[in-house]
Amino acid sequence: MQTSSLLLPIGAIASFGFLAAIYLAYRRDIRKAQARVSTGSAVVKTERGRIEYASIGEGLPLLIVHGAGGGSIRHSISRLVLIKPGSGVFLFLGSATFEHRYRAMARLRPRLIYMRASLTHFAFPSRPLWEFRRVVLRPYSSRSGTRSAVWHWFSSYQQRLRLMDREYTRAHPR
Amino acid sequence: MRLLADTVLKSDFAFWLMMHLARRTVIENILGTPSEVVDRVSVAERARLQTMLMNILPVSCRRAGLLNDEAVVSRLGPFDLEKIEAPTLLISLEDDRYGTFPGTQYTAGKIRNAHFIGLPTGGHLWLGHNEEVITTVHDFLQGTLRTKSRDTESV
Repeated sequence: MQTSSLLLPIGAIASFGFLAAIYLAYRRDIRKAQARVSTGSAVVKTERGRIEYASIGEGLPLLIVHGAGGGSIRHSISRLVLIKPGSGVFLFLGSATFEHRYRAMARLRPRLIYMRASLTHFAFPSRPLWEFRRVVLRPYSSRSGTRSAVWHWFSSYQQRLRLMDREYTRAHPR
Repeated sequence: MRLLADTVLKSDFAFWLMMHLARRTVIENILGTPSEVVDRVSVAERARLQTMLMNILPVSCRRAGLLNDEAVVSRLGPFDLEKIEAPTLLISLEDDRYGTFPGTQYTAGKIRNAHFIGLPTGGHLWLGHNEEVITTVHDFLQGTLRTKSRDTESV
């Protein structure tokens, strides 16, 4: 009886300590990150809006522009468009604009398509459908298991990527 | 799904937690690099990966930019790649989880003055090839500058 009455406070203290350690580790990392992004850059006003930039080093000027960030990953995950109902053939797309274009082309050339992320669109939107090779074969699934929603989101995306890799390798043997 | 993604982008803590609880998944899906590559690279390359990972934070500050990216990407029109005349270096890795490799090959075929370098493994971060990539970019820039200064002299 006495032992069990001790377990509760010990458990509570241990849990509190564990959560406090997590919080402190988070605070340490986020403070470092905030310090990093709050220094070393400047903002220039342009006719298209404000642009943040950083100038590093010496010598001849070299402009480095990074492309789209993770936003397009999220977009890709949220859309997987069926081209040909019943065939199990799917187009993995990132945007409604391209969806219409590729749907129209798919009617002309009903082949399988290989695409892994909307970044491909971002960089090469002019690439016609028939120049893509196979294959995306996994339908989008909204099934939720016992795993958390976040985990399901990422792992299902990962599964799709692996399947696409396998199919692509099969279609393009080295 | 959209709500979930938006929540993660708004919360630095949620993203930080995800980075620790699902590290390999974040490396694969956010940094676009196969996790098995990580086990094979040097300590220096692993340190570079860790820096890149931590540099995602604070993700809440990136939210507006990511949403803007999303809006821009969905409205992009075709590019006239054939019109590009500048010397162009394209580097891509076959196992880049963003799938840039086929597109990079395609672009290299369309740009007149392009030089394509394809590497087999290393993912989106070219893990295991950092020195090689930096040297390649450096040499490319030096070569381009030399050509340009020769052209200027001859004019």
